[in-house]
Amino acid sequence: MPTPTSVGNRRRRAGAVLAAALLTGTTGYALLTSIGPSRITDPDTASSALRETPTPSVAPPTPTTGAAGPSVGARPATLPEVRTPVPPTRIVVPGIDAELPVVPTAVRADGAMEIPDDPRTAGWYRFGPDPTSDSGAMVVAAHIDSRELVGPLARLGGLSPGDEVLVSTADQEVRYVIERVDSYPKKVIDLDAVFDRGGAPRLHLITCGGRWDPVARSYEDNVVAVGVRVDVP
Amino acid sequence: MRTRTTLTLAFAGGLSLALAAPALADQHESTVYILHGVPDATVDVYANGDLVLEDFAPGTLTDALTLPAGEYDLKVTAPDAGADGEAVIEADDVTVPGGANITVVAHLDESGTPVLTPFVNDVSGTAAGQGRITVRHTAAAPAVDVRANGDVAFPGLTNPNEAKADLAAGTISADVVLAGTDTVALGPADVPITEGTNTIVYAWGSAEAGNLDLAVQVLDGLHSSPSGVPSGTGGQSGTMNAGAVAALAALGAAGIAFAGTRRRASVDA
Repeated sequence: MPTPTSVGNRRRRAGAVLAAALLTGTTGYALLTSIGPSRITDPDTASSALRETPTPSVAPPTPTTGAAGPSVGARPATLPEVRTPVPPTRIVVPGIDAELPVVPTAVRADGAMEIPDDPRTAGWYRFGPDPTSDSGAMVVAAHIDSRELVGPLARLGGLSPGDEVLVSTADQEVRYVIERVDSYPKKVIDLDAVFDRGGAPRLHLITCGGRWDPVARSYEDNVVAVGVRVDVP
Repeated sequence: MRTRTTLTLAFAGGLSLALAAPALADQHESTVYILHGVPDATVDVYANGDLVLEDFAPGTLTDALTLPAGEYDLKVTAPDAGADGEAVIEADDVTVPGGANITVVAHLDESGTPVLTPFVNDVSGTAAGQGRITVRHTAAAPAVDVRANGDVAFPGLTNPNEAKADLAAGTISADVVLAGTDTVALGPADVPITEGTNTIVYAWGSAEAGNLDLAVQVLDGLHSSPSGVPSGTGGQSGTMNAGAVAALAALGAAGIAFAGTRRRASVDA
């Protein structure tokens, strides 16, 4: 097992060699466009693409007491029991040979989702659904790259519907099946749909894509893989 | 108005939907909760002569009621006193506006007389990562300071008023002291600042009777989404687009080996 430093050095060397090769020709880019996800630029289509897909396995919400009557229910005015989140700790995507540790993340000062600097580590939006939540989209995101290296999720666009994603928590493994993978211009993506806390339990696995904007220092697109949760052992 | 008022129970799901999307809420009705903060008196509650609550105990909070906007005659009586029974508290022509979220609190005023106070709950959206804390003084007690983690957060709060703030999600240790002093009247208690939630804390009871207490009401579903998912640092190449980066990664995944190393360009562990 090489030390992290030696791995980093080798990786940098490898990256430099490949980058040089790619920049001398367009083969790399041509290869990519043939395997890239579809790009959705219409706002309405972008919203509906990320809204929940009903799954038959999910029971309809049971209404609380439907009894209409003269009287309304009352309860002690104390702090309600709050469900303790179950953080994901690792995500494995065999179809693109990716495996990343996952850490809980919050919100940056500018309001954007916080994402670990190292593209080999994914962040889980800890205010939203987790792998065992009854509903909503669990958001897991990782950088596509850093100054030093390309992250595993750079291959996210190569994922296909039907591929599986395995998410570990401290004591269980939860399985998702990919339903669609698309890229969205950041100006178009529906963030309320991305972070939707309602609807069927699902996974939104996200990285960046599209053109690099050197002024904004960001990529133009987000790539989002939508996975439907198929079982919680 | 003496027309018979129809009171309907709001389903929990419907309520959270209404809170999440206030713009969709019917402007002709409001969501109303009732909190009982008068010590030692189990009561019945009537609205426009109709029984709404039976055997309502101190320190309890109702589920959400959906009430048409309008004016209500509210009356609180001893249990089983009947609609025409003697009032413990009575408030005529209480206006319920449309499209609001209200908690009506039966409590003691500063001098210890039972009163009804409607508070409008702030169910506007909270910023991503933040929660809202609201504190309400509904106790027979003088002005207080509310402290968070030892520092005065809300100074000089008097009955029947409130103070509120949006804070980063987490937990604060809160206590209540007599205004301008370090004399603790209540607490300390750990108060969760839950993301996307308005946590409303009431001080109720009577300082003189020694039964000051806290009541808590939680209104959730106020969360907002982060403003973006900035998931590329772009250090790999300031001039390369994500396509080329992904192509690199794809080549890596295909297992192509490079001069001087057998490692992949991408990292998979």
